[in-house]
Amino acid sequence: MSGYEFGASEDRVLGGSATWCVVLAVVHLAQGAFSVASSPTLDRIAAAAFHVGIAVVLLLAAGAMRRVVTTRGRDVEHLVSALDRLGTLFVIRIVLLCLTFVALAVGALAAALFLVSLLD
Amino acid sequence: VTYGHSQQWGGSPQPGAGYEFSEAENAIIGRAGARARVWGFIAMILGGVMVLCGAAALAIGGAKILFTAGTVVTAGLVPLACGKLYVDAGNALAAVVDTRGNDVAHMMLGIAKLRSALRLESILGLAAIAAGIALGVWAAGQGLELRTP
Repeated sequence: MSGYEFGASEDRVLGGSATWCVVLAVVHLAQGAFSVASSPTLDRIAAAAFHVGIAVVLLLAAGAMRRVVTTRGRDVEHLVSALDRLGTLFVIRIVLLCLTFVALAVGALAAALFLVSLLD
Repeated sequence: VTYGHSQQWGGSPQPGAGYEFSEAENAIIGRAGARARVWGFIAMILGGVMVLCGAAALAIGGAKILFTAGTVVTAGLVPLACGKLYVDAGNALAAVVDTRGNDVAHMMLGIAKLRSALRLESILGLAAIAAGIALGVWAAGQGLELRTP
């Protein structure tokens, strides 16, 4: 079963997914570039690094999906590899979101402590 | 090797009907599906909160904050819609692991949902970049300096 080949309709879906992965990677790269260009502070450089990381993972997933369409003999292997990359993408996003919440919580705590010190 | 049809027996078999992914492949597919679902639920919750906050602000502030509240509601609809697509994709990928006989059909449904989510994110991301550039050009024309918080 390792030689299973996807059909033309399945290749169209996978090819389309690969294309949109590349487009989204370009969007993330542009957002990272704009983020740093607008004000190159530490937080924006960190945000840009996450954008670049997401773009790299998307490009790797796109490459694996494209190989499903353009090569023969290892379609399933390439598809599973693409899904593994996309799984990594979701983990990066979840980690980024958690870090954002932690930063917001720390900021709110610092602001609250500052206000309390003012009231004292 | 057959192309698009691993097995056929009577009726009108779907492409890939009968093909089963291996245990190792199922492990990766299941993990990707679970992660897609988790991210989808988080995105839906965030989007829902944004829509509710925007709607509440609009109800309290009225027309004075129409633009701001409208922007928040619109911005909340995006993760809400994308989150739903990611959850659907995760469910389809989970079905690949949990069911037998239609692995390829479930897989392609999951990939199609992922493609829709990626497309929606890409188009809106490009629109946001275009709007940012247009705003920058307009501000430069007006002699203004745009400051980001």
